[in-house]
Formats: sequence, structure tokens, C-alpha cells
Amino acid sequence: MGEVRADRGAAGQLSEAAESELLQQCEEQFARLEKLQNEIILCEPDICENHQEQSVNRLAATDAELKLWMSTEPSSLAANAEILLHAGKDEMLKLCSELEMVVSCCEAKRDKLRETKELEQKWLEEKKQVLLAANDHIERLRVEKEKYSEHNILLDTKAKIKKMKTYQEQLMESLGDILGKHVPPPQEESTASKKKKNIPLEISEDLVSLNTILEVLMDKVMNTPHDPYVTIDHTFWPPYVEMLLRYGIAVRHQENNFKIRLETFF
Amino acid sequence: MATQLNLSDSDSSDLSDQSVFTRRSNRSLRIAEQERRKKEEEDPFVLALKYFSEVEAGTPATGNDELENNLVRVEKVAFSRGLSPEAISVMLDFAMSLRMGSSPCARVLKCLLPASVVPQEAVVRAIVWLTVRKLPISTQVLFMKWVLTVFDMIDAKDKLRAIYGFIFSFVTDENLCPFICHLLYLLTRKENVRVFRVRKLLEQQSKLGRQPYLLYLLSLYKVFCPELVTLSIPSRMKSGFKNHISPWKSALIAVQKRNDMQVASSISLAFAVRDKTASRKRKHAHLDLPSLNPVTIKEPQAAQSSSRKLVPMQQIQSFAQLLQNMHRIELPAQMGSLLGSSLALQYLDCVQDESALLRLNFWLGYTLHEEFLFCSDGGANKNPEEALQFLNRLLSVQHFLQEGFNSSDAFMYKFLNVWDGSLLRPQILGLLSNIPVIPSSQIKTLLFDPLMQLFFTSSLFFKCGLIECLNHMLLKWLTWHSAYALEDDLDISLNSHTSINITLSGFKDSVMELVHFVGRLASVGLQLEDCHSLLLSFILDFYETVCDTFLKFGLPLVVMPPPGVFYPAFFAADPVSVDRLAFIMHRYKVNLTSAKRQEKVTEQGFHISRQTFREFNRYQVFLVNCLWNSNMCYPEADVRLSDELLAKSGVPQFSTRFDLIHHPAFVSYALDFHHKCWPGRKDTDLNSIKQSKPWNWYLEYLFTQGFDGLKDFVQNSINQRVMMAGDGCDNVTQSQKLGSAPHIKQPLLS
Amino acid sequence: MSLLKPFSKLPDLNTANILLVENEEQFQQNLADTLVEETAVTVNVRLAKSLPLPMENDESRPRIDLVVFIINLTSDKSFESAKASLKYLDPGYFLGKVCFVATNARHASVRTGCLDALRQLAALLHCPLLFAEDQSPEGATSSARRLLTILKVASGLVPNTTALYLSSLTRCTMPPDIDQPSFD
Repeated sequence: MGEVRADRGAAGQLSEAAESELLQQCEEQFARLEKLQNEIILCEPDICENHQEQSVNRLAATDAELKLWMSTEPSSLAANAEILLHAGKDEMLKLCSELEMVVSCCEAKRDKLRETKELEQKWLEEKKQVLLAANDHIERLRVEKEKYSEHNILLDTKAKIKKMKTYQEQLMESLGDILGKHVPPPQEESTASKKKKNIPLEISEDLVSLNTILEVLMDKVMNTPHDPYVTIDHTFWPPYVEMLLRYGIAVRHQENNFKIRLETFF
Repeated sequence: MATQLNLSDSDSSDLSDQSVFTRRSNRSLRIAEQERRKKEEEDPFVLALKYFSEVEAGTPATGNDELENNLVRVEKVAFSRGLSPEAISVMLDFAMSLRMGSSPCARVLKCLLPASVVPQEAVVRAIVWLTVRKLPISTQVLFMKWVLTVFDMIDAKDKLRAIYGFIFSFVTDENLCPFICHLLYLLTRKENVRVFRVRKLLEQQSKLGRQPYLLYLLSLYKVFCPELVTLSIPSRMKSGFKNHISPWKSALIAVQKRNDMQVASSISLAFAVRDKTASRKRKHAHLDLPSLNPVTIKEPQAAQSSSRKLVPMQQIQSFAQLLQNMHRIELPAQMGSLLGSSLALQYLDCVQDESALLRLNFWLGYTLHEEFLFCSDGGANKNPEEALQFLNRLLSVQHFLQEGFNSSDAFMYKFLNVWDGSLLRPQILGLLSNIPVIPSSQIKTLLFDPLMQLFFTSSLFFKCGLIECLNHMLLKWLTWHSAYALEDDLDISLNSHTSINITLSGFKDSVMELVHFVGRLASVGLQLEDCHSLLLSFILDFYETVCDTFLKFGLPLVVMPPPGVFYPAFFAADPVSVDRLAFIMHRYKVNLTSAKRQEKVTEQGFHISRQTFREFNRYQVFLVNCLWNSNMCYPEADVRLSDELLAKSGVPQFSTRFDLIHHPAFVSYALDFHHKCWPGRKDTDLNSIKQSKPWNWYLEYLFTQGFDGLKDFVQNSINQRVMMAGDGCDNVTQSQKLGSAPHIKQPLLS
Repeated sequence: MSLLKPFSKLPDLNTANILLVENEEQFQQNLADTLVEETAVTVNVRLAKSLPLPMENDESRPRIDLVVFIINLTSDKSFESAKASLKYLDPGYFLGKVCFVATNARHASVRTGCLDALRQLAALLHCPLLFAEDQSPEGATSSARRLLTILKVASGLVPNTTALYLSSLTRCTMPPDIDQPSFD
């Protein structure tokens, strides 16, 4: 139907015969439309509420449409040569405008590609330079390495060790300070905080400070790395052990509840 | 008071800061400063701050008018101009120390909108207060949300990193864990990844379940130290850190926009690395890439104390410098800034730093989600220019790195489902074409379903754009394949930075799915758009890629176009389409023959289905019969019309109507040739071209008109003798043969 | 109950009629203004807040070729109203003559589950679900253009296609659950 209409638009210059033929076609189409319309209206509308039924409906409609498509035969537009000529002309004009779009599109693509090419060439150039620089660097390192005498390395390592030692001492001192200030040995603490009633009164004389516990743990890890566990004995004040475990500083042995080790912080 | 605090603040920080300060200031400035201070003494806002810094612990909050008044004053300033770094320090300390109990805490936190930066000391102090654990849980969470929101504005991160262990200890807190993980994700460096931390996280995971935030942090740990994290991380994760409806975001954007001028001047140095065109309008943009240059100069100095002497990326100003320091560059805390700097990208591309890409990915995913899927203004982009620039930048980065980011892929899958098909179309299609291979089991739901709905409801131009985009996508997939395929052809890693491994057959399946999908779109699209030439040209572009998959990209796969593409292209009234179709068919033939040859040579070669050969032969026979033999109505033809209809149409010799002379696309060339060949003749008889000599001349004539595809096709697929006939021999036999049996050089491929 | 029927009236020459249903009446006017700018065919736009349509205009109302429900995802009421209106449509409409348009899908305050519910509904009814950027003029234009594409097919103005055929290509599907943003 759309095509018939399109023809009509160009019908301005058509001869009378051609025009009447077109009109005739339109009339026929419209009569068919009216007939179908009447049929539809006469049809009893079957209202279906649920979706299942609607799906069935849809399936039937699709099926019918498919059958219609399958059985549709192509037909010729019109017999009148004049009409065909006009239709052909229209078709050509449409094609021309489409091809103009294609041209401008291709030109845009070409320009884009050109830009991309330039950009990528620039990048390639930069990458080459990077490669060059990296190679230079490797070369430099190699030369440096050759120049480096054994003696130098020894001195260097010594200096490093010394630095590390001072750093370690510093750390230990800080740790000692902190522990001394905030975690005094249990005896003193219990006397100092009398307010807390639930602290067991009889605190063994042998209890060691947190410093000592940590020291034992650390020494054990360093001296026997294959067996870093320390057995908890009566000198370890239970709240300290509890604290070490809770804050992840120490870890309990998986099988033996009385053994703990330092968390692997390294 | 506020100014005094400022002094004490910088006292505690690096000396370098001071030196910079003194270098900058001269006498006159100092005098002006004193003047300003005097004025500020009377400023009610300064007085309010003074109140908050000096108020004694234990002062009751309820019914305290003084508190109320001062708080209102601070809020007013905060929501209009934002708070200065000193004010942030004072207020944060006030809130977190619970000096007046917990009731004003939340309110104070909510007004902590920085005007420029957040001093890291303030954050560190607040975290220390957090360890006291007296704050109500909701306030703790609010504080963490605040830290995450303003993270990019914290002036330096070194001290925050120094207390990494303290921050880490909060992961055991169920309420804070998601936020802590997020913060740790932003702070983590290689040296922070330790066995005991991994163990703690795993412990946490077994307690809380496979939470995405834990997985995200673990995946970063895994990147840094793969040997410590044996856990398998799913390649596609849910977005790990939720987007909180942060109470600060919109207010912050407003404050930043208002402060545009001042901020811009104070960090003007930062723009050295930016492209100049972009800095015109975008300075205030919230979608703006963070500037690479940190607002303070604290961090570089801090880094220099370390023995390795790292050079911060932000100090690199030229390509030459980059080359010099390539081996000792330190990436900035704010990964997004890398996107804006071409030097940083060069670096990223060279070193292939996994952790950097992971962090960049994370930042990107978050930003894309926030700005495009979770808009506070509902997508009414007040400044569409911003979004455009941002995506263009992202595209160019992807172009440069030659790969996408999986966070932007994940974003695309979501975005396609709510896209209107026109918003930022070129950028979105560009991002879409960068999506790496999707396993064929998911390709339909992730890609095809949303695209199909968009394609068939959108305009011709969208259809063309999408076909082009899918063509680029296919090209990239195939290029990946040819670049990354391993020798044994079994496992190809598609992307150097993603863990997607796909087998060759899996890859083939995905490619095949994509080609078939485009075939469907193309067939129906051509039908709906009345075989529009523009759409057809994009579709032929696509098949120019498809027909060469074997020879150009070494992928043993040949997929023929569907009839819905082949026939519209053949019957097109423009010669370019027909020529391109001939070229495509020629390339199919070359690919198929060479594939067949290889199949014979190497035993374990691939197998191309008989169906493909059959399809190819059918098209080939059709082309040769129509174009060459002038015999359109041969018995096996796909396209047939009823004899009555043909008779009724009155077309003479309809069987010859689509040969090289009468095909609507070429008839004008035939006429032209006819005039040139027989200038004297009055009556035009195109059939006279069919005699062998003029026929060969006509072919030559066509080939000189630029129909290279046709030339290749004719020379390759049509009986050689016909071509050789040009030198005069065999004339008689040739002209007799024309119009009879098909002249196919190698009759059929099978 | 007065059902709106797709074929109760004869079509007019070169004319397509569209009905925009929106409870909030915010976006429909914008859309309508853009829709009528189409020149190739005459487009009649009818607006409604909800269905059923008032009886008194029944005579003058042309045959409706496409019914569009505009749903604001930030409002629960919007969806409920559209859902209630659906039952006043003849089942014939669901063969390609109904379409949903969702606005504000990218808004931070989308009601949880609202989008999913809408998708489910559209998928169940085999209708397309378009997303619109209603805040910007470009968004309105592009939505109008997409609606026109569907409308032209639904009113039989595109040769070789039917509404049913198109709707089988454009019907809404449920996206996969992976990576669905969870809003808290």
C-alpha cells in the first residue's frame, strides 16, 4: 500500500490513463480494507484475562502470519509502463540520496582513519624511544655491575647491616618504653588498679612482665624457626596471654592449647 | 585561633612544607596576612571554631544554645563555601573526641565539606579516636563513609599508610569491615601485604561468607603477592564496594563548583600535564579526572627518604624525563589522574603494572557507576560536555593501551540495559566495541538481548552505527586472537590483564555467535529499512572482515552471509555494492581453498563443515550464472519467480536481466561502453557486447572504472580461457559458450 | 468495561495515531510536541493519564495504532497506575501495539525492584521497553523518534513488516542478574 501511495505522489505528470489505473488500484485496495474491517468488527472478541491464554493467542497469530508470508507471491507493481517509469525514477532519486549519504560517510571514515594513523605513528615513535631508553638502562646497569668491585659490595653490605642494627635497637627501645609505660609488670598493675574487683587477688610472685613474654616468643622464633612454639607455664600471666592472642600478636598451637608462638609478621 | 592551629599543624608536618611556605611569602605578603588575621579575629565563624577547639570535655550538649549557635554558623559556612583544612581538623577532632558526648557527632560529620583539601593529620587523629571505640556504631560507619567520600581530597597519604596496621585491625569489626576494606583497598601497597593479614581476611571471610568487599581486597593482595593468596578469585565479581548514598556528595559538588576559581588558582601548577583544550571548562567538573599533581607538596619529599629514591609520577614533566626515570617511578595515590596524562599512560603501558591497572580499574568502575548509572540528578546532566570529555578520554586511553578495562565492560553490560540509544552514542558504541570476547554461553544475555531491542526500535543511523561497532568488536577479537594465540592453539589468554582464559573452540563459538547475530540484524534490518544503501554499505564492511577470518587472522572459521544479506547486495541498483559483494565472494573463495589445502596437509587441521561449502557453492553458482552466463533461471536457483508473473511483466529475455550488461547497477556502463565502441550506431543493442571481443573489452572497461572486486572475482572464479580470449584466439568457441553451462574455473568447492 | 480496540475503526490515509499514557503527565507533552513534527506521515497524538479513556470522546477518537505507557521509575504510583490501565486494552493490542517507556532509570533513587518488576511485566506481555532521557531535549527527541519507528510499523505504513513481527524482535527480555547494582 505504501508503494501505491508513493506512486501517487509522482502522479502529477502522468497521463490520464495511467492515473485512472492507479486510482483503480487504490479503490480496489480500499474496498478490500473495508471488507476486512467489517469482518473484524463482526468477529466475537474473545477476551482473555490471563497471560497464558495471551501467549497462546500470540502464538496463533504469529503462526498465521508466518503462513501468510510463506504463501505470499510477489506481484508486479503495475502493468502501465508509464507508471513503472515513474516508479523507477523515484527509486533512482532515492538511491541517489542514499548514495550521497554513503559518500559523506566514507569520507568521514577516511578522515578518521587518517587521524588514527597519525596518532598511532606518533605512539609507535614514542614506544621506539622507550625501548631504546630501556636498552640503554640495561646497558648502563651492566657496566655499573662490572665496575663494582667485591670490596665495594662488602663495604656496602656492612653499612647496611649497621644501619639495620641501629634501627632494630631503636625499635626495641621504643617497644620497651611503651611497654614500660603502659604495661607494667602484673604485680604493680594489680596494686595500682584496686578499683577492678574481679582481678584475682593472689598473683604469683613468679609472674614475668609482658616484655619477657615477648622476648621469649621472639627468641624462640629466631633460634628455632622449625619449632617456634613456647609452652605457657605458670609465669605467664593469663590476661597477657589472652591479650596477645586476641590482638593477633601470638597464635595458639593447633593441637596443643598450652603452646603459643609469635605471629609471623615477616 | 584557627590560624594558630594552622601553624601548629604545619609544625608537626614536614619541614619542607615550611620551607616552601617561607620561600613563597615575602614581607608584604606577611603584612597582608597579619591584616587578614586581625579581621578574622572578629569573624563569628572563627569564633565558632575557637569554641569547638576549646570547649571542655563533658560540657552538656542538650539545651546548650552556645553549641547550637556555633554549630549553625559552621554549617552555614560549610554548605556555602566549604571548610578550610584547619576548620576540618578542629571539627573532626571535636566530633571524634566525644568532648560533648555523641549527640552532636553525626551532625558535625555531615557538615564536614572540605573547601580545598583535608589534612591527613586530622584523619589520622580521627582514626586514633576510633580505636578508643567509644563512638556509637552508626557514627563510626558515618565517619568511614566520610573518609571514603573525601579520600581524594586528603592532602597526602603517607601517614595514613604508616598506620595501615591500625586501620587493618578494624576488619574484625563486622559493621566497619566493608568500609575498612574499601579504605585499605585505596591505601594498600605491596609492602602491606603480609601472610598474617591474608590469614585474617580469610578468617573473616569464613565468618562473614564470601563478601565482595573482602574478595576485592584479597584480589588486590593477590595481584601484589600472588604467592600469598592461593584463593581463586572469580573473574567477574559483583562490584565490590557499594555506592553509598553519601550525604556529602551533592553538597560537595555544589561547594566545589562554587569554589571553582579559588581552587583552580591554588592548584594551577597541576594543569601542566593536562591537555589545554580540556582545561577550559572542566576544572570544576566532578567528573573531572583528578589532577595528577597533588595539591600539597608533602609526598614527594617523604618519598625521597626511602633508599630506592622513587620519583613520583607527578614530578615527571616531559617525555625525556620519563625515559630517564622509567625504572623508579612511583604511581600516585589517585589512580584516576593517570587517565589524564599521556606520560603516565606511556609508563603504564611499558611497565604493565598489574596493581596499577587493578587500581585504575577499580577507580574507573566506581566513577562510571556513580556518574552514569546512579546519578543523583537522574541523568539530567547539567554539563553533558563533562561526560562527553570523560568518555572520550577513556576511549583514547583504551585505544592507546589497546585494551579495555573490565570495569568499563561491566559498566557497559549494565548501561546497555537502560540506554536510550542516543545518549552519548558515539562514545558508548566506542566503549562497546572494546569489549573483549564474551563466552558464548553469556553473550546472548549480556550483549545480544539488549542490543537487539535497541537496534530494531532505533533509527537507520543507529542501525548503521551498531553494525559498525560490532564490526570493530569483531576486528578486535580477531586481532587479539592472532596476537595472543599460543602455538598449541588451545589456550589463549585474551587480555594480558584479565584472567579470562578461553579455549580456541570457545573463542570460535563466540565469534560464530557474533557473526550470526550480525547476520540476523543485517537481514531483518535491510528488510525494515527497505535495503537502504547506507546500511548495506556498513553490512558489507562487516562481511569484508568476516570473509577473511582465516587468512588475515588465522582463525579456522568461515561463516557465510545469510541470504538476507547476499541477495539484497546482489540486487542492489548501485554498482559499488555489487562490486563489494564480488570482492567478498572472491575472498571467501581464497580463504576456503587455502583452508582446504591446509586441511589436507596437516592431519589434525580443522574441519570446515560441508554446509559452509554448500552455501558458498550455491552463492557462487548464482553469481556466475547471473553475471556471466546470463542465465538467472537455472533449476537450482534460490530466487525464483513464477513463469506467469515473468510473462505478465513483459520483460524480454528475463533470464539475462542480471548479467554484467543488463544488471541495473551496470547498465549505464554498458550503454556508455556501447557508445564508445560503436559511436556511429543509431540503434543500441546491448547484446552485441556479448560477442567475445567486445565482451573482453567491456570487462577491461569495467575494470578500469575501479571495480577491483569484480576484477578479482572474474579472474579468480571464472574460466580462465575466457580471460585469455582477449588475444584473439578461441573467439568462436567462446561466444558459443557464453550463455550455456556455468563457466566456473574450479567447478565447486566441497 | 470499555475496551480500547485496535481495529474498531477504519484507518485514515497516511495517518498514524499514538496514545501516550502517563500518570504524572510530565513527559508526555514533550514527547507529543516532538512526535507531531514528523512530516512524512500525519501523526495524531492523544494523551491520557490512565485508562479507560472517557466515553464521550469515543466517536471523535481515531483508531489508536500504538499505546505507550510512560513510567517514571522513581515513583511507585507511576508503575501501579500503568499496570491498572492495562486491563482496559483489547488483547489485540498486545500483538505489537503496546510499548513501555521508562524514565529516570539511571536515577539514584529508583525504587528497589521497580525496574525489575517493569521488565518482568513487559517481558510477560511481549512488549518492548524503551528507556528515555526525559530531562534533556535531545533525550525527548530521540525517544520520540524511536516511538515513531514503532508507530509507523504498528500503523501499517512500512511495507513488508507487521507490528507482530517487529514486536517479536523488540520484546523486552530479563537481563542477567550478574552485576546488577545493589542499591542500599
